[in-house]
Amino acid sequence: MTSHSPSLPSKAERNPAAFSFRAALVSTDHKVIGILYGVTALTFLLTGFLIMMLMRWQLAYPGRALPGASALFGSNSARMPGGVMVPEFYYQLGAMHGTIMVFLAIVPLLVGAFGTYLVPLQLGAPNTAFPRLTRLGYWSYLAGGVVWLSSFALPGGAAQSGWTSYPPLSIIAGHGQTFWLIGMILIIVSSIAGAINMIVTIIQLRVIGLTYMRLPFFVWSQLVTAFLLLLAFPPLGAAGILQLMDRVVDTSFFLPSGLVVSGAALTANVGGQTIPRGGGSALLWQHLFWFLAHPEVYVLVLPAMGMVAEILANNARKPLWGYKSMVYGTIFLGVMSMLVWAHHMFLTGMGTVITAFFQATTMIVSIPSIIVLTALLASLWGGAIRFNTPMLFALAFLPMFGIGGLTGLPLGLAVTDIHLHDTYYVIDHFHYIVVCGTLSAIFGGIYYWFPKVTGRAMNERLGRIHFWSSLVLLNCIFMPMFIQGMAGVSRRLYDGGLSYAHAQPVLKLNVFITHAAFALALAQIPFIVNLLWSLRRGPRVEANPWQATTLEWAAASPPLAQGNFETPPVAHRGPCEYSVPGKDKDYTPQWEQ
Amino acid sequence: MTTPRPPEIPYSVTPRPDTGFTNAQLGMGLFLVADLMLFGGLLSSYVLLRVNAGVWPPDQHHPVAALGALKTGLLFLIVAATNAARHGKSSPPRPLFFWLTALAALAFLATTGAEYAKALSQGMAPGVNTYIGMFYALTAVHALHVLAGLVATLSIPILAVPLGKTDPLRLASRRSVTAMYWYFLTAVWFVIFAVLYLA
Repeated sequence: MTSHSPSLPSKAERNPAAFSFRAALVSTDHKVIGILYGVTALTFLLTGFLIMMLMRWQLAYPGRALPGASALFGSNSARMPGGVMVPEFYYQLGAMHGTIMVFLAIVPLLVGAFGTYLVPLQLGAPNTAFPRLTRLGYWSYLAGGVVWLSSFALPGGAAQSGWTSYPPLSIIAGHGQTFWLIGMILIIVSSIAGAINMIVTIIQLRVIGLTYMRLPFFVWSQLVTAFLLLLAFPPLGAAGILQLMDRVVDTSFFLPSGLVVSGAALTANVGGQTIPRGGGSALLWQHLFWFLAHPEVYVLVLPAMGMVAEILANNARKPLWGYKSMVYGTIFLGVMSMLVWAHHMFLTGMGTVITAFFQATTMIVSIPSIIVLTALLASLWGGAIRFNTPMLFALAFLPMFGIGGLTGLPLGLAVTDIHLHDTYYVIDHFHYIVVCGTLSAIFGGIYYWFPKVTGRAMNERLGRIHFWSSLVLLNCIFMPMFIQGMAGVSRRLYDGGLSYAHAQPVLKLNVFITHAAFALALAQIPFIVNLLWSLRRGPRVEANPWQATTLEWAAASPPLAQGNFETPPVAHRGPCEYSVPGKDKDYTPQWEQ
Repeated sequence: MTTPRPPEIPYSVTPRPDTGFTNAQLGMGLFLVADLMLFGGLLSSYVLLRVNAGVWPPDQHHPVAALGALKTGLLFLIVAATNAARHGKSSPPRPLFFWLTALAALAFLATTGAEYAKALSQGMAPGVNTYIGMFYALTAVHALHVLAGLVATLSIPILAVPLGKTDPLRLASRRSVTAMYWYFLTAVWFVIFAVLYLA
């Protein structure tokens, strides 16, 4: 390979305060695009959160006007006439809350922001394998997000068939659903481009000495995640194309025969003739959708496990216990996650043989999750733990993910699932994993890697306020939902169960949950202040402030704008050699001889 | 202000010794796996709709097998021309065969367009039944892939061959990943041809 004399970047290029918006628009550097992903996804996270707060008001006080709604929406808005939410608007908010949080916030934070930024650094690489593909991934993601958000402005509003877009409702719904499908196709393009880039980068751009078993666990989690995205998104692409055809050119792939809507049979105008629609299968969509969406569940948690593993080993000053078991467990988890999708469909009456099969695979898939969780817990044993903000968030991940995972077991067994599936129990189960678990890991990751990205440390006191208030409030929100779920309150009611007798004893919990959710919004203010203040005023840090061992800490903080490293590092050992007996310090970095 | 030269990405054109691949080859391989899942999703939908249907085909509408056979022939031509364009390390590239590949791809798209126009004029719209719907879905997705292959192939004589005068390795890499793509599209077409036109 020819080597050019590297032109040293100017001070302005190394200083993120001089982060140029114009340069970022055309950049193909993984760090710039990682930051773009992070900022965009945090904005979408806040958007999804605000949408949820509107819904929570409606659930706590159904039929009561939202203070300030007329200023927000206009006094005679069709969505909130007189400040009171109409049911259609509630369902739009529900569908878009899920869609935005999964596809525009959490996955882009985990894979787009942390993955794109950190993986090349942890590999000792100058950039991703395909820098222009990295850029395509980001802009396609942003375009998808813009299409989705703009659909709120359509006359009929946004998509309202849930984030799962089940037909037949999604096919007879308004134009918002078409926007949903177009946005989804853009997100699929972005995800597949990102996944290919990630896999090739990890396999091809590892520096000398960085064998597979020396990869940081975070890189392993990103590798398995990328394979899940690569294999699971295309079938959803196929399903999206078919649903788009059902909506636009009147095919009936997902419409069964004999469908009657509002007292009239569904018909299509084909070649000047009116013919009844039908011949398709609504279940087909569910199979194709969940073939994506169950692996997607693991996409939502694997990179979080990877981040927690990095933070945990560093702050316990101990190697990960059972690193190889964690790696093999993660690979097994990835494979099994492709074989469990129909446990989302026990209510459809698939037949006992299929149900038994998916019940068995679902029980099996919990084993590798428990291996990883056990290994993380065991890594703490005997460690000299530093309880800083990133570590607090990483530690909180363990019980939160534990609760989320264990409450999933009754949903994997058809007998109990039939009772629980359409209740708040399900909402609660996956929010414990994705919000209490994954989002904790994301916040931990932000506090942990912020010094690497900006060259400045975040404020520890504000971080602790953020951590403790968020942890308590999250549990105030989600613990009562288990009670509501087990009481049988349906998760799809716009009035929170007001009209059902069995929901009456647990209705008052809605008010408590809503107040906790509003308080949770306030608890994020210390974080936002901390982020913005530390960006400008945080104390400067050197290259390796946490005394960590993986290769990203060999680069300057922030890394060189072009090529990351002054000279490409060489990996001499495994990723987490902490407290090695006989060494003079309690960490031995991968790059040290 | 001059922007600093972007860093050289390792193994862009030479294979990494321990994996045996260039980045582009591995990337295209992974893309084709993803694409296989896309066509796999569409084809399994076809299978599910077909086994659920009482009679198949549901009515008298049927795609014209001769046009399908013509499209199969054009894909053979594409693969043959792509293979003929292969060049050694010392021998110069042969732009003629890239143009030939592009021409065959263009003919494929024109055939598809004519096929759709004829079908629509006879009342064979996508909404007639799920069989015809799947016919449009599969052939249109495949034709969009051919269009992308056409653009990629044209980029070689227009952009890459002038580049190849200084960098034959990069040109060879482009040719080989484009060829991988055409082989894949041809293989997928065999399945589409069999299940749709010969059904």
